[in-house]
Amino acid sequence: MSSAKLATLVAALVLSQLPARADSSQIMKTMETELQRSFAKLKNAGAAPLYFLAYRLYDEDEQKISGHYGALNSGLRSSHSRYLKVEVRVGSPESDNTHKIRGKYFYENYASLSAIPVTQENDEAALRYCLWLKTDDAFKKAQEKYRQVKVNKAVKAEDEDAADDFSHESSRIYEEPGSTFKVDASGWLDRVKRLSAIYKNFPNIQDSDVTLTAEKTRRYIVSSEGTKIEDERVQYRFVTTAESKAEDGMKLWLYDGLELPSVVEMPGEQKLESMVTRVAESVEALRKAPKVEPYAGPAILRGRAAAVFFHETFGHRIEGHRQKDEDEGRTFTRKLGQLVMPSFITVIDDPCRQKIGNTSLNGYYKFDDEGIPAQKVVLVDHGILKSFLMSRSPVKGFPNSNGHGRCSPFYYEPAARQGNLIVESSKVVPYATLRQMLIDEAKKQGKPYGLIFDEIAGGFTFTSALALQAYKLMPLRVLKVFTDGRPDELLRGANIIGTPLQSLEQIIAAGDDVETFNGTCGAESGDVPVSASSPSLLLKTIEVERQEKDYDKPPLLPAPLFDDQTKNKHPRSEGAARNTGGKRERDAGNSSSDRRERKESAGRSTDTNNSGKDAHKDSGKSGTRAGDGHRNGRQDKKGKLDQ
Amino acid sequence: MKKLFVLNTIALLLLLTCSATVKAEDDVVFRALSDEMARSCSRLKLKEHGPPFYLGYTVTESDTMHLSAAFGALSGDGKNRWRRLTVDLRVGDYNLDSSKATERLYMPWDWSGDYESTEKDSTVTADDDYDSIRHTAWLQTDSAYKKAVESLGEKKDYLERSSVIERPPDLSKEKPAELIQPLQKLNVSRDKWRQTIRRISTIFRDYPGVETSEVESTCSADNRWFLNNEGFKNRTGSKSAHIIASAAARAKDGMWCCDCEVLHAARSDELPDAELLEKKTRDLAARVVAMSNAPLVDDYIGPVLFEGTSAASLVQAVAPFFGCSHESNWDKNANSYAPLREQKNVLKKKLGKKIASRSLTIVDDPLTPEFNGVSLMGGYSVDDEGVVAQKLTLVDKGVLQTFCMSRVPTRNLKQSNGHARGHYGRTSIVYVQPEQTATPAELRSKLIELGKEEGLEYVLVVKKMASYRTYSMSRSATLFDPFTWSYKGDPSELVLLPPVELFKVNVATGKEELVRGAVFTNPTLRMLRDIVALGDDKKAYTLPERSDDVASVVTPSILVREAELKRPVSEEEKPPLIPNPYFEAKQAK
Repeated sequence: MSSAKLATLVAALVLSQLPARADSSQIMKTMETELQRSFAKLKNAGAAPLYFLAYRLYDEDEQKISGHYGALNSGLRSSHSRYLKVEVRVGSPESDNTHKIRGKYFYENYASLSAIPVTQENDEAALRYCLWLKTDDAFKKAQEKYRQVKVNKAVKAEDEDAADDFSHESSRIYEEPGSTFKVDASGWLDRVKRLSAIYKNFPNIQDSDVTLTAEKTRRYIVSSEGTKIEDERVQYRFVTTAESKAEDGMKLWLYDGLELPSVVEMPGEQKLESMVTRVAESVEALRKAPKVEPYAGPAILRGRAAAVFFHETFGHRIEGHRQKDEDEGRTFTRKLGQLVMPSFITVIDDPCRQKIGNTSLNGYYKFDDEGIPAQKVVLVDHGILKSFLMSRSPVKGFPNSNGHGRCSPFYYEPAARQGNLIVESSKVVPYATLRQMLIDEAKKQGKPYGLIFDEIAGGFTFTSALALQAYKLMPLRVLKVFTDGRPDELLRGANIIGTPLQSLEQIIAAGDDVETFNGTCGAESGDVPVSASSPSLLLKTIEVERQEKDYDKPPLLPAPLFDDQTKNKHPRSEGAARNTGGKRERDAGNSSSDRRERKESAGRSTDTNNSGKDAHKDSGKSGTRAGDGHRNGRQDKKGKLDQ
Repeated sequence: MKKLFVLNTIALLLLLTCSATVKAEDDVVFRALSDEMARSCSRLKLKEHGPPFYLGYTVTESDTMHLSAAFGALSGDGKNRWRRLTVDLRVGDYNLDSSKATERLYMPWDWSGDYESTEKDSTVTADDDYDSIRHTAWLQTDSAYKKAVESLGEKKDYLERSSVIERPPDLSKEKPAELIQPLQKLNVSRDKWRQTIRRISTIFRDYPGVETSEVESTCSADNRWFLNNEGFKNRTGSKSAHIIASAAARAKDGMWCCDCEVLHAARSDELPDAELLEKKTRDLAARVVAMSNAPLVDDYIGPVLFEGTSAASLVQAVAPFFGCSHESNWDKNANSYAPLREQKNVLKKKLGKKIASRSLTIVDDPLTPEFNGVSLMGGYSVDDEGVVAQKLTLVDKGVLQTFCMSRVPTRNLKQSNGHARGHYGRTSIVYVQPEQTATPAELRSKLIELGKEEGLEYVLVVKKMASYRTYSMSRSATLFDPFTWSYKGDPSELVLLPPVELFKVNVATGKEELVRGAVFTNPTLRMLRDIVALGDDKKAYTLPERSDDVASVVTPSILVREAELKRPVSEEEKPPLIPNPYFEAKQAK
């Protein structure tokens, strides 16, 4: 990366936040004042005493540039939004309104949203006006919910886990200075245009997109316990997506991208160009690849695929609050101190860690959304389950938070979530050896081939006791590795399916490579940034199923730029064809290390009523370009469909 | 190798930029669309299925600035420019084509969802970029073609097995229109607007009786390109700006009293007059506070005078019945060759028949931009299907003359009259033309006279009715149940929003008293027959529509012989437990 080049680019045009929003400590003061007034006046205003009140305000600046086929979708789009969450707890920490109402639909445990617009400016009267209305609303709902909790407790069998509803923690005060938020708009407008034009060289690319998003979220937390936190998160995201259709109607898409905490880490245009080109080439290659056949046998999950595998099979199942929720599968609840995976595997979650190697980790934070300092947690030590991820919702044996109470800025309450999940192996082999071990294992099992999964779109899992305790991963690229020495074969249309306990036991060996999956994880407390890192893993058996299929034929006419019959033929189509021919073919079996970070979604949610079709339909109505809609659909699928 | 590739790409891009500048004088959007259209109309076909006989492209561009403020500070501040491409592709012929009614769920809050329909809709680049626009058009046209072929097959199957009597043709032939207007650009001072919205919103800090308030503004420049293979080609541009202030106060019993004010500057993006804005906002605040202190009214049947803007609300409620043309005559879901909404229209078989009092004439005129110096909203020169707009007399001295038509013929009306809005035949700017007029004093005395005839102690005057905006600004202010609203253009029943400013007039003394808490029960179109008199106070009013738009109505006050009002049955949540901190601090001082 050429830092000199970047420095000049950044200097070109600087867009900074509006001065009206600069005085941030005023926001804290206003929030505190209104919190104190509300707390004092409402303390005994209802049947149940108010014992905890917290305000969380998220101030988000976003700048977005997206391009399609050499043009911009709508220039630079800047937006500023604020999300305000009022947390009200009535009763006592031992038993309060947040206690789960058992035997009811999940949504009856969530307060409905109130549509009070949040002031965008630092005006004391206006901000207090919204705090006042939101607090009143939240307080009334908390009282109502508390009454329901009490009735529910009276009529239902005793809770299996009698842990309190809220942990005792000491209050924290932390203030982070505001950073300047700069996007070199003019430079990026042109760059995005240029990069999106690369797809014009590929005849079978249908929808495509190149997007740069820069986001700064300043967070203000005050609570009646005295916690005061003001900090911020900055993120730059570069994503490209391309879509095509195979002759049999299967929709094919790939994407690649980067999530970075600072623009300085953004690679130069050449690297981005090769990223876009590689996506385009891979999509074209997938079109010609044969479809996968259902299969069970040995397989290698390359680093990022292995990371998502751990996020789904394991990560979501050790989130603290799920251990006491009797509607949950509680796979690991009673397994503390037991061997749950091979003894060479250790798993930690460490939100305090900023990087692995040169890769920035997306799940880095200092304080969680409950104002508790982030902590490194050893979840599995040499195969033995040691701990859970904890928010302030205690479970048996874990009375305190370990700084994993997280939520999205939208309308969600914090819950225990993953941060940076890191899988380590005390026994590693070079990747080439791992590959040979795959061939050997396939031979041993009498299978003609083994599989390698590298590109992955994400995955989802069900943790609810009502559903199958299963997970699904959506690989984008799969390679068949033959035992008889034939060259590898690229496949399309595969899903990995499995069950958590059985799958974790299948790990035979790990590579000496580590890859990081940076992405967004969706669950009941919203979408939160996470990462998962893992070496490549060899699994004794993995099961692969066919993906669902689309039926539409590919377009009947060629893309306009590639239509030989069109009289006013575009001057660029020939040159474009030449370019395609001239580019290097990437070795599909070996992913290079400069594309380890992607925008991915991998998660779950307890929302048992959402179906995938719904998620897709929602996105279809969005005002974005059609391609975006589909892509959103996928992300929704990953984020919200996850059950 | 890699470097060479990069250089190559840059060189090609430069070439592209040059060619785009050279041809700047012709419209890139039209050029990209017409090239793709030419190719599609000749070569887009499958073995047993021919190319489209009709292909229409619409690109709508919207550059919008939206601001909102609550209690003195901005709560929303966005600017957005986008373009959307809609493809209307039909196979078959004018008599029998592939069109079918949109399959959509009944969701009153969703006006714009694109579900399965004849049309394909997608965002297209907002840049004037030939390749990108054409690439998008290519994919959308392809997908629309495949859908159209399937849809025509289904339709033929349906006709095979069903007895459709006097089936109207599917698409009318119309005279191609070419109209090219200059493109509009949004040139607003965002800061000035911000200041205004903030300032107007701050006014509510003078009214402790107002519990919630909101001020919002929308300024937009909209351009529209329409092109089809019949030779229609038009490009229209318009600008508009409006401010809506809404306020809600709470009566002691918890009942919400909400109202809003709409101010607009049509066909421009200028700010409305500052003084007028402030005055209207203060009136609004005072009005909702007064309403919240007013006594409850009892159930009532008797004459009602719709004065001023409430008459416009009444006309707005009646207007959907005058649209009888739909996006397609075939409604697969309804299992019918007449869309459900048409079937349900009580005016369906009333052409040439008396539907209203002889004193009533109703005209729809999209072409006149102002009335008595007041600019009007909702007009246009060509409709959404590119057909030249026409002025229509819908009702002449009480007799129904015609309906607002798109290019989808009905059994009675075979041609468009330039009223396709979103492919439905819909009204634009509606004028009520009285055949005889009465002065305000005469209307009042007639009202009292009717009350006396009925032996009533008092009669009712409605000065203002709720609007489609009012409900959204207060938290749970469901003065009426949004689920009971019928769908846009669904004229199965008359939906009258509740009065917000309602007066009791004592028949003995003529004394007027503000009251609250009544909703219309089971109003029907019979009300048009029950019109006793119309005022001489014809005026233009602009009202929010059910969609996000606003539209104008020109009408005098209307006196109706009989209407029924009742108290709503639902109960309201209690007011906030603690006072607004601002007023609390002010009082402490």
